[in-house]
Amino acid sequence: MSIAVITFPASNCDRDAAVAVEALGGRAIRIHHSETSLPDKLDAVILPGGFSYGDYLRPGCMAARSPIMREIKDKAEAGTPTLGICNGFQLLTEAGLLPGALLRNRDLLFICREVHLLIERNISPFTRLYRKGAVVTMPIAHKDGNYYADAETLKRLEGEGRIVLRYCNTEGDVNRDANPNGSLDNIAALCNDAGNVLGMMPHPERCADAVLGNTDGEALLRGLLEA
Amino acid sequence: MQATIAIMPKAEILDPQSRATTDTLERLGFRVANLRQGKRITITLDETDPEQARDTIEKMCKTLLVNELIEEYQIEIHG
Repeated sequence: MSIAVITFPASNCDRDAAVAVEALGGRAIRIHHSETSLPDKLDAVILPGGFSYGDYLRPGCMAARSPIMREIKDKAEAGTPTLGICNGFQLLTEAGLLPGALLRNRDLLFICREVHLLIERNISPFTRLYRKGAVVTMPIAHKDGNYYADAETLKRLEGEGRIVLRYCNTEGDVNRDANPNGSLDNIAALCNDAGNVLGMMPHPERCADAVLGNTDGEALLRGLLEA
Repeated sequence: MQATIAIMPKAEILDPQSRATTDTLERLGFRVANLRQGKRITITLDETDPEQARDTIEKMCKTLLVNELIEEYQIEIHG
């Protein structure tokens, strides 16, 4: 399985994502944002975390307009699984591949800690190896993860079952106390209508190796690799 | 020709930055009925026709400068 990992200026989880993919037996192809094409035989694309272009103007907005994005959009629209992590999620909304926007965190803080997540949906390929309703733990590290969409969009997303992960407590209760950043409906991850584009604020690539003390993210990457 | 673009978070967006600024002003003894903060961009164009300049700036806003889902903007063209 070949997975393209895109590097934008000031991406900082691109190597982590590539290492995690390789450790699980996949082939990570590092692609620079200035490229205009992706390899023909490609099984998935990862848009990594970081602070592309220093988060200037709006997080992800410059990266969303990079030369490589036209090809990524074409592939995503043709069905290639595309995973945006953290800054990659922000970028997917800015690129119009996912609805909504990620605003400054409710309490204005940069939050770097582990959170509990409810597997709201086990969709292929991303969360198919998790049990629906399971509670997993993954790290978040962001200042702009406060998901916003207008009321009509939010209703549609909920109705279509496109919310994939929600912030919850250890028992799996989705409530305000378990919401780290003010995201509407505790949304931590959502997918497009076809289900092949997933944006998530938590970092599965940072918890996919036992040496890091947590392997809850491994199943997500494995789901992508074994699709 | 110069243009100024004022970009503000939409009224319905709960903007944490504006809220923090409001809270701090109030803690300092000021009474604030409403406060919104945004950003201002000035652009100089090599253009003499104000209508053409406005068109170009409008395109820049739609293409990159503004996310209309969460922000609104006003353009001013100066001679």
